[in-house]
Amino acid sequence: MANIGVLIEIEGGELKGTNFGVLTAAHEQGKNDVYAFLLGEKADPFKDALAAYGAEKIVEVSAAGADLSKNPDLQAKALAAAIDEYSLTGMLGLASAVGRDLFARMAADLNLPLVSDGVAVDLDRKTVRKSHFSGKTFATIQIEAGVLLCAIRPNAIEAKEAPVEAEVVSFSPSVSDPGRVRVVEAKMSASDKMDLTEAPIIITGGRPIGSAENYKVLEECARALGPAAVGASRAAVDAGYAPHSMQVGQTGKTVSPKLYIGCGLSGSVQHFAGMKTSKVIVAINTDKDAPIFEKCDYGIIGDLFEVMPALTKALKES
Amino acid sequence: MQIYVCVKHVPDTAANIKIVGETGYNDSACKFIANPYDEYAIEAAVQLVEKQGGEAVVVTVGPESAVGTLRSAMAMGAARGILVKVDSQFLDSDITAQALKAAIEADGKKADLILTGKGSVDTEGFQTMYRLAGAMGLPVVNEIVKLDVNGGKATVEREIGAGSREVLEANLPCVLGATKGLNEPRYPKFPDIMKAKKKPVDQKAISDLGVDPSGAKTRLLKLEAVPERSGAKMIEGAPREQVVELVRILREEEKVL
Amino acid sequence: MKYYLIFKSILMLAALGTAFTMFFKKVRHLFRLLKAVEGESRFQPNRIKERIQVFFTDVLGQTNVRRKTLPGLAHTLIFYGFLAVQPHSLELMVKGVFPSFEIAHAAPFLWGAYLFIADILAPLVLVGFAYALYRRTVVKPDYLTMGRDANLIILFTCIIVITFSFINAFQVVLDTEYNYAAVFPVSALLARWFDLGALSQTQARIGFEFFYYIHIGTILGFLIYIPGSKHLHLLAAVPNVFLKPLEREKAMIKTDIEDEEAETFGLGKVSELNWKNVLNLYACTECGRCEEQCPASNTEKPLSPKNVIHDFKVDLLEQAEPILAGNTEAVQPIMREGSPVTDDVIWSCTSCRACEDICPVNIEQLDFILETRKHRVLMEAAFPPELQETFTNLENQANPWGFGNDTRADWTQGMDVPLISDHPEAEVLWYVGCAGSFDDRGKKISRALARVLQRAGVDFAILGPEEACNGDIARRCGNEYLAQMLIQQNVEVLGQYSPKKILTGCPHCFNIIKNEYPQFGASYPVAHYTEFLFDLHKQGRLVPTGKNFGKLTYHDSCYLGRWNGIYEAPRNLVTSMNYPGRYVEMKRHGAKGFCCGAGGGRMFMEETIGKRINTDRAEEAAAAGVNTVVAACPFCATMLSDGLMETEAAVEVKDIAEIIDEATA
Repeated sequence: MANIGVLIEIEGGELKGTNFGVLTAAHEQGKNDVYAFLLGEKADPFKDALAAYGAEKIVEVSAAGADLSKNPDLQAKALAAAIDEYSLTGMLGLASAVGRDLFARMAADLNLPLVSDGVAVDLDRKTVRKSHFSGKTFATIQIEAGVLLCAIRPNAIEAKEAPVEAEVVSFSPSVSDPGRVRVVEAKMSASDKMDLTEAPIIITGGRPIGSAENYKVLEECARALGPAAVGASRAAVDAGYAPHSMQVGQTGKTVSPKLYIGCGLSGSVQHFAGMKTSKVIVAINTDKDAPIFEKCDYGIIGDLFEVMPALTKALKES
Repeated sequence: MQIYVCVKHVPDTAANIKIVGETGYNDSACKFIANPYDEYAIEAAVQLVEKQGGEAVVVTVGPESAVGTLRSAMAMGAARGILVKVDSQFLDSDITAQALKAAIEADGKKADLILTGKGSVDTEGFQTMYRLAGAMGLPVVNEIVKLDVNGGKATVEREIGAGSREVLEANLPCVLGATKGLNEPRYPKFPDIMKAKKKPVDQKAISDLGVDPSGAKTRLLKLEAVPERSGAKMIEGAPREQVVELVRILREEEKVL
Repeated sequence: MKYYLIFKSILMLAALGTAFTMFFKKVRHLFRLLKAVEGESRFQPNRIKERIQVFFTDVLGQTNVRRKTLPGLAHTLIFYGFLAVQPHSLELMVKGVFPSFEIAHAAPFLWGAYLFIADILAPLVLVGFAYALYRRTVVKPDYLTMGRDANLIILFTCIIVITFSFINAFQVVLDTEYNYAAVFPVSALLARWFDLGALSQTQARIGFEFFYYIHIGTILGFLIYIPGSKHLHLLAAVPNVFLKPLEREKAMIKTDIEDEEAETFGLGKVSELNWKNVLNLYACTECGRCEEQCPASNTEKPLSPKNVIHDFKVDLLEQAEPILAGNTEAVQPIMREGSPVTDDVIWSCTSCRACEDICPVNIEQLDFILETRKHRVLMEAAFPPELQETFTNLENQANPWGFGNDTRADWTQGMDVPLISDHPEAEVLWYVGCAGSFDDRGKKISRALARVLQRAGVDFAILGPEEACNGDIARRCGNEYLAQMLIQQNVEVLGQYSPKKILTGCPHCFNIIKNEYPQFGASYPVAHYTEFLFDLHKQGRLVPTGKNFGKLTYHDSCYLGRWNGIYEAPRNLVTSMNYPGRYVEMKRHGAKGFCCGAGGGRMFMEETIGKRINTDRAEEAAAAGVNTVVAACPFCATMLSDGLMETEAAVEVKDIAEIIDEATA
């Protein structure tokens, strides 16, 4: 029995769905006591949801006499203090933009090893599996320290419900602000689009999409699928059909959704490096010899402009 | 302005990694290049030096052959290079950070800015810059897509999910990790490639810097190829039939809907 | 009369002296400029006998000009008519100074015969010009521009030949020791028509003298005018044609990039041109035939090969002063602010060589364009941004797409295609090329070709991962450094195996290995597969089973056709493999075949200006009413397929290898 911490991420006042996989990883079928940490947030709205995935203690973290928000160094120090306070032997989180940053700050601060972007973790043996060589290989890393720090790739670990009774506690360590880095402004995107790395389902359009406007065909289907995001291949981004923030692949985002639908993708190595840990990959392409068909789970030979609207319709009907 | 750019000598992202034994790979079969994210850092440094004067020095920890990466950085405009020689391709990020710190300090000039890429495409650790900053007591921001250096302070932007950005400030000197979007790394002019061949490279062994490479707290147990799928199950029929079948499979067999 | 003659002598002496001095000075200036430029020419003054033949066929025979029938005929009339009046005019000039001079005294019969011919040819110039005028005012093709320069010259020439005839007409009615009526058939008619016989001798003399002054005055004016005008071509075209490249095949210029003394590479300033380039510039008469053929000009791109030559010439003449003074520091770069030669101009070129092929005076336009690219890339790192990735991919993985080069032979899976390292004694080394190894379309073509070779029992092997890109893309995109790196890499590998014969699937591989690798010390017998397979077919090793492909047409690859003169083998293969079916030609075919738009590295650049070249070509293929358009180059196949997809015509694109594979299966 070990005490494992999980850094919970809240976005726009809501729990990110990807948190639950991390809780599942920490819980290890009841082997561990899971501490869910909320940075500067009240636990109440999230208590039931977190308890459903095995968080026995929900810790509201704040800093004595300091404002945690807008100060990543301070947040990392507060979390580091929590490791000590609760005798944690592992701290897990999401390898999101925020999570990667906080975990690295914490690791540097505590001089502890860290695995960022892990896809599987064994807390007992203190080993983590992660991608090496831009998605071409997996490395299994042994952590030789008392505490295991790992930021897990969103969706890499499937969430499993494990309901427990949760207790809410507060933790307010006195941490001093090194005063190094300040967030001066947050430019939030106006759209409600889901971040690619967090999305459980992704539909990607390649160059045959032909224009930025045509992505609406995919967006309609994404809406019918439920929480889903729309991505683009590098060729489509280079052609100016989509912004770089939508790019999936080696030089774009690495994603690991449960369902990945690629429309008009040829299936380049570089693209696969960014999505091949997806659970199910479906490809739609007009060319029956497109290499993507050799590397995916299900294939449909057809024009995306015919198949995708039909799929949207079929999803709405069923 | 004295800028140090930390770069890594990595296998080209297109290279196939042929695994040898439990934890090794055949590096002689790979073309090595400067880590692509580090190129944004080099470009940013060179642009700053062009605008504000000073010197961009490129530093790497790696094998002897990493000189090639230093040369390509120097062709882009870095003035000189420092190579900390190690034998292994896999070095714990903590050790790398210590080696970088020692090399920069041993260079004898006060760093105003340390730039690097957001992570390396080989070991994908995404943490060395934090450890370097931590060891040197400097501020650090990673994954920056915008950089403005003015009045002893760096103002940067980083992406934090679906199109949202955070604007941060840090006092100089600081450590910054660059990513795609920061700039377009230049293609070197031919005379600059030739000049780079004659620029000085200071080579020293990691042990000469007083860093012990054996003190790592992580160990690579196994390296394995990510399994490839064996080929798609093709769904036949008219579009309407195809999608109905697909929805059925995703719902009933794969249970992802 | 005596005083008049003395006056005339002095006047003529002064006029001739002035005009010839001015002419001489202008020509000397041009000649000095030609010698002052610093570039090195690869030209070898060899094969004089063949060059003399060229003089007879191309210059006197006017064969090149007459590749366009009517305009060529018009030019021939003007050429011969104008030439014919010159000896007579010279005599008149000398006679003006020395009244007693008379060539007829020395050789009455010969001179008479000459005058007879000249008298008939001269008015034909007017016929020629009438047609030229008709084209410029009625037909008005875009590529023909009508400027002040051209109009003045036409006017001058017409005046010269008209006054020639009138001088002769008056000569007929003047009392002399010779019977001029007999040697001037046309002018005698003119005299009769105007009833000049009714004039008194004095009146006739006055008439003669009147036309004499206009005639000589115009000629002298012409003389002074020519060297500064586009009609400099009258002087420069003949030497330019005489010194033309005698081979169709050509190599791009090998730049010595290891020369540590060199301050610049490629073509950055007009002072870096070589004398042959300058002669090219002088020889251009802006007939616009290059522009008419150019795929870029035809699709609203800013490139016109004619304008490139014109603009370089203007730049050269404008910057003559510092060049002649040897002060090259002061010479402005070609691509400076406001220059008509822009990046869009030089990067629009597909290097298809239609311009060079059609040029009646053998100008080598590509040398200007490709060397300027070289300068932009090597010295300025200025090139279309999308090329950066192509360059990086070539550098890191030796192919333009950046696939791992160790997967180069993956397309052979399950085909039993040996690597040369396992089978070094193979009769044929097949250099597959990047498109054939990595591109999805190209791989299908390679598999078809491999099956065909196996069926014909050819003992072949491939290089596999030892193969690197041939260097064509990098070289034609101006990246000579990268190109030489790739070429050296291949040259070393080929050197290890010393293949007996190299077979290529791609015309770009074929061209560079055949014509440019010898610059790097690698000379091997090279064949494109179309020639190689046609030989096998003739030997009965590839027998078609009678499959009917329907109606086919063949799209000429520029690098097979215009670069290497291979037009017949592909056509013969297509027709004999499809003997139950039909073969038709597209309107633009053979030497006038229209590029697919991929050459010169354009395959890897965005095409955002004007109409897409491949669309233009695809429309032509669709209009030919064929089922299938046949290509012999993987890049052509891809470009045509893309173009046809847009036109939505039900036309398939197949490579010849695929046709043979199906026909002999």
